[in-house]
Amino acid sequence: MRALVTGAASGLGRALVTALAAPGHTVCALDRDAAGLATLPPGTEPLSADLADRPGRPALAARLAALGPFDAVLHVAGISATGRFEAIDPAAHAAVIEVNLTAPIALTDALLARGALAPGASLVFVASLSHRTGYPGAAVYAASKDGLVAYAAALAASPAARGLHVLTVLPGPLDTPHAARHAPPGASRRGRMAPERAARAILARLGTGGTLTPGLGPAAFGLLGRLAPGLATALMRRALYRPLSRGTPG
Amino acid sequence: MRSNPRSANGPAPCLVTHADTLLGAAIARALATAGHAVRATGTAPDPRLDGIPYHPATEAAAVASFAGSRLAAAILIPGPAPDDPPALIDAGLLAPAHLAQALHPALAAAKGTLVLLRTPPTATPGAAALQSALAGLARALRAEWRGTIHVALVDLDPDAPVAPVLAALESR
Repeated sequence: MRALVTGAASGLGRALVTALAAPGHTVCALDRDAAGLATLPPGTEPLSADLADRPGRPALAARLAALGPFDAVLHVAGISATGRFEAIDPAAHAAVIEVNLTAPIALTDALLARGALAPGASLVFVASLSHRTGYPGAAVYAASKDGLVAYAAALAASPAARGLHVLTVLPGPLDTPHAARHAPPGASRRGRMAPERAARAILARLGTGGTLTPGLGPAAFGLLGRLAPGLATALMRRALYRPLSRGTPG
Repeated sequence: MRSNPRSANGPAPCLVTHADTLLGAAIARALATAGHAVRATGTAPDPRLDGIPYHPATEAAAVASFAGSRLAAAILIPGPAPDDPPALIDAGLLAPAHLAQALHPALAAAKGTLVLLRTPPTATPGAAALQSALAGLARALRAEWRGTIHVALVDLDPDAPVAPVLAALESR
């Protein structure tokens, strides 16, 4: 199998690359962190690129298409900007939207247009459990992930994706550097899922479509969010927004 | 009605962006007719505004001119929707997010209402993404600004574009 993984240098992306490379699959590993890519297991093809670089995207898409056709494309790269919405640097908001939403849409459209996906290929979009719960304290991140979920669903129903498998993943808190950067100060790592475990759950679903929330706890909270969205968002506000908002100026 | 709170200097106005569009001009006129003080922004003067104070500038520059003032409401009219998904997301999500940030002080000062408008969804995945992203933004901001700024997400009805906006302002 030939796979492409974005956000490959750390966290969930790294765990996916490692799990794919172990049985001998070929993995194109994309990340802006070239040093991180250099420490991935043998068998991976490192591809250093910044998904926030819109002017460079046509060249990146051409490069990726030349590396295909892919049997699996896993859009894992994601960044966040947390705190009180009005206090966050507008440039950070722009970057969050670009990396989390615009880039995966543009790259997917480009790979489809260039025939760079093998018949029956899997497209995996890593969104967030915040799609079920809301995410006060990371409003633009939540918006970007909600947008990604809707894109994946509309893509799966479109003629362009006929024969492909579109899987949307809604992970809860993961024990990753990304989560540590954006959690409230002093937050415990307890309850965060190991990225290796989430990676196993995702890879077990390759070749299928639909939505996956790895882990029973996150799935239960996601269900609460569907049944009582106001309550879930209020809980998120108390657990995340209040402590985060104390850490931002203004 | 709390959407039109009075201060020593008279009622805080409602701001309508993209008032140089058919929809923006219609909503600005309807608000004025309903008795609201109205300010409008856009990039070109528009005769349909019938004397409503108008700030012909880029949206960001016009909105910056409201720093330090009070707004009873900001109605963020969607601008022209490009076909290209990145441009669509810039116009439909990033631009309203930036405006909402810039308008926060003026809306908070008057405990005003932020109205995010969604155009009817089309079949393209990019447009579907935008619809859902705006809902996610509204949901998070509603929780963040609870007790300070009311956040309304209004789905535009092409047959009756004005009524849902007026209803959102009256619903507080």
